[in-house]
Amino acid sequence: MGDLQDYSGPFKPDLKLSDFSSEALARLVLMSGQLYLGADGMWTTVIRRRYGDDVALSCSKEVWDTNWKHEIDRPRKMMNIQGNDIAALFKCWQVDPGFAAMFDIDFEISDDGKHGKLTVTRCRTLEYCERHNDTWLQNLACNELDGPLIPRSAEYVNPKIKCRATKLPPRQSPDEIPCAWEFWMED
Amino acid sequence: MADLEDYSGEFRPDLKLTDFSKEALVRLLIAASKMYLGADGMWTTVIRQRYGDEVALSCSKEVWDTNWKQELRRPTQAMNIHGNDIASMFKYFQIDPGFAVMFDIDYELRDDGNYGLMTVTKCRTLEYCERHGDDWLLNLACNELDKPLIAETARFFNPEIKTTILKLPPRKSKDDIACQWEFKLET
Repeated sequence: MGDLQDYSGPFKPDLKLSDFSSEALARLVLMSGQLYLGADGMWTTVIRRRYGDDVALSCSKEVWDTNWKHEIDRPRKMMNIQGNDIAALFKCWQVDPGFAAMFDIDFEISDDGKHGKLTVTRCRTLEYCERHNDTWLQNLACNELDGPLIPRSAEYVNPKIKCRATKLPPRQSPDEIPCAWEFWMED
Repeated sequence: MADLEDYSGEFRPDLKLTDFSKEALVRLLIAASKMYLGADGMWTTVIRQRYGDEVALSCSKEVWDTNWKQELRRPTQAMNIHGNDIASMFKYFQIDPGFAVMFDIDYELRDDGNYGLMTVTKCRTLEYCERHGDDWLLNLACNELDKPLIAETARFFNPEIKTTILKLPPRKSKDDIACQWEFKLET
């Protein structure tokens, strides 16, 4: 097995992905996450341009009404994440190509495992919205999609896991965090 | 650096993707690739259900008219792929999350690299279409999107690369290959 840092060298007809180094593979995972969210963004843009904001919002919500489950299930299965506590939920998100693989996120769990905090310290989607002054897209991403889907994801892992946002965009300055969430396990 | 085979162990608040073994990262990359094409498929499904086949076809073509360039730019940048020959293009195909990461593809180079043969031996998109008897989706993926976009990709690497399709779906039997492409660099 090789350990290629990138693919600037000669073409290998029999290349396997595992010929790359861990760092190169991590870059590929990050890049795949960008393609994933980018394709969704492109669809949103096209529908918005053709049919307007309301239709784009409605279509996007319908897409993500199904899609959010894949975003938990696929990484969980591939990485053999077991359990149904807050730690298991956080583990899914840590390896999710559409979430912590793309964004900078701090995770904290209390000693008894019954409380958790998730703080997004860097969000590329929010930065895009701020750069383009696109408050509609920011509302879609943060309020219409993540707002309900983060609690649904938590309850999907365990119906007893509840959460609330302690901070959501918009923010006053780029120095502020984008968002923060509290999780707790109901008795 | 750790070398986790999966994430069945304890939660690590400071986890980095490079803590995983290469095999685990390859699995995660495949999951990300499925999420990428799956999100596109979900959008296509929603628009098709709401507005019918013709609108879905037109929207999908508009999305991919932009998106194919992202699918080219991001992987080539991430893996430092340069050059303007057929080998460079094959290198890109090999690490593209929307292509060889997902599908089984054989590559052959001849004539000092001026002739290339690419054979898709297993295509999950085709298998999905066959499983669901969805000729419309098969036509969208193979004829409306890949047919022009693979030739466009070849021209993007080098305008002198000519593309010929030797085989496209539908296929008579599951033992047949999915599709086959010939590339010639005219010097």
